[in-house]
Amino acid sequence: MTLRQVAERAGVSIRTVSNVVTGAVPVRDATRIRVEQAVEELGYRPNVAARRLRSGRAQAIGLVLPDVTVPYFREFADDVFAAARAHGLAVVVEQTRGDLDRERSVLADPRLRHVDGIVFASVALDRDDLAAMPPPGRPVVLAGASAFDGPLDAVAPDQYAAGHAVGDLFGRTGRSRPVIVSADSQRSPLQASARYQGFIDGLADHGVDFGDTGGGQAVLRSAAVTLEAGRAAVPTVLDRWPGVDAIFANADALALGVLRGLHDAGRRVPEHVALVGFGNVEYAAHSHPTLTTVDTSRAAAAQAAVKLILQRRDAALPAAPQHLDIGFTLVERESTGAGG
Amino acid sequence: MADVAARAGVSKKTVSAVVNGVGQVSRRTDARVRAAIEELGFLPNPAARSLNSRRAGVITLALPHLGSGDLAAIASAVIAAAETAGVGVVVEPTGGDPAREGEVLRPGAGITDGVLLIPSRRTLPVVPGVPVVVIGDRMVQRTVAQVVAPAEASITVAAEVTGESGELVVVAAEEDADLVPESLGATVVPAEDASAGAAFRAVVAERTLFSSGTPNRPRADRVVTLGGGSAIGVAHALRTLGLDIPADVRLAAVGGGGEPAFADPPITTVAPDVRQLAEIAVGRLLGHLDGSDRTVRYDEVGLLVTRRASTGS
Repeated sequence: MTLRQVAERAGVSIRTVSNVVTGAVPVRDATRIRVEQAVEELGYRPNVAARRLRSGRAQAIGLVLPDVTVPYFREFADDVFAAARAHGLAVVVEQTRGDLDRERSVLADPRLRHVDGIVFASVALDRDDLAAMPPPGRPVVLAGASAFDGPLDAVAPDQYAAGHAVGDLFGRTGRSRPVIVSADSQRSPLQASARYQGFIDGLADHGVDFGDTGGGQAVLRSAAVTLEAGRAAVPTVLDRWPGVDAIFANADALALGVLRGLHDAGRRVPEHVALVGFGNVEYAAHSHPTLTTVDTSRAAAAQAAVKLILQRRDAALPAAPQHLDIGFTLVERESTGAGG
Repeated sequence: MADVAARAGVSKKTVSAVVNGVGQVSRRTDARVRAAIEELGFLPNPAARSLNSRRAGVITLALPHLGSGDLAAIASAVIAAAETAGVGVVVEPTGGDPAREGEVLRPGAGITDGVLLIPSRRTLPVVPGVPVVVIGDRMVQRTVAQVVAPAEASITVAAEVTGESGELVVVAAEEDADLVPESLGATVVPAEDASAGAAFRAVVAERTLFSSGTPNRPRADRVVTLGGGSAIGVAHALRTLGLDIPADVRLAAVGGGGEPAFADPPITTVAPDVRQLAEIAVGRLLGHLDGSDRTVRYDEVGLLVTRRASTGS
């Protein structure tokens, strides 16, 4: 059922039918009634594109992220909304819970069928998964955790440099027995990541060998990126690495949960154990003690991702995938002994 | 629709034109039709054949923003409830701006079948021209389906949890200040917004309220915040003023998200049952869309009180 068939039935041009459907241009009553009758008789349903035209709101983008209740992702979502609003775009939000199968299939989800581009905060996919996915058919920009040198556009901080800054901080403040608490997935383990490599090298610059802490590699995988998972990790950390004097939790929500767990276990931060998170969520500036973290320029990442989508849509970029480094800042606070 | 047409003295086609924003209708007729819709509490039935009846399988969740743990908890529950029903969610941040809320409610306003609206005021800026269910912490003065966990009741319960006597301060975003029941006799400290940072600055700016009191009022020893994020900011500010929670000041938050439970000390919360809120609201909206529910009801959901160390528990 098309506009053309309605036009033929009503004895008018396609343009006229379109004007009646969108209400954009006034049409004589007699003509309009003929068109509306034709629509009724033929059971014509304008597609969503027509509805968009009528509303004057042109487009929407998709935002795929694990969970809007995780502080980092809800703050990132707000940044994406602000960037999208500046361009008159609505945002369709999909949650994946960080599930690998869901991340693999979400770009083909029918609920995203009408969006013009997608900002994809993926946590479970690795380079092979991305290479194996069919072309999404519209611009997709990876945002956040990993900067893949893969087939999709991506915005992320320099993960190696960020990890290095944290390792260096522990090293220069005299910490020698660090432990990592991480919520990375089994399939793309932290050890394969640039952030981890940077962390090790940053420690090594101060003579701390991350492999030499006894009890094997001092990395604990938490179940999820949640406050509760962070808290639950602490007894295991203290049990396996009793001499721990520094913890790098690779997300602020984890770090804030670890902080609670350390309180409960009677370990003082930073006196006994230094603590660093990742992401600089709002709460990090107000915890007790305040949390040292890596600020990953979320707002800049959101703006860059939205802009990339629009540039792709307008064919204003070369075909090769763009990988934008949006920078980071190490924010030192009370949890590593800095003031405030 | 026939009822509205009869009430307004126009044809069904004219009613359809007003509701769908298509075709030409004189301003006076438009007003008559809208008045009839308002009086009868009419909800456009998309099962009826009209130009606007194509189901997109997507609904809009219009809310001020996601940055607060409380709103994010509602959004997550709504997305989950909608997903179970096979429906997607477009999140439309309104920034609490009535003009943007009005846009979302216009007929033919967007790419979705209906709207769940978390409003920032007690009034809706327009007669809704799309199927809508209002959710959140305040009842709106409008004949529209609503699912609410009233903030006034939550604030009263939170105040009780902080103790029966003593000077009460409520920290709230400026636009929420009118939700605080006068009968509590609280001093309201307004913050720029519901964030931790704004609450922190607001309390530091009013330090005399907490450290020594004022000539008119003794030192405040009970604080209720609107929002979990605010509570975290308040706790931080009280620490920097050298005050201990709960020994010097007892603190409770309306709302919550997850963060107050992990603060130091953990913060008491009075929170709506967010899952119930979302399930009822999504159910109502989808019921309106498929015609199985044509009522315009006001539903309240229960409160969950979790006492923690910040109120001495």
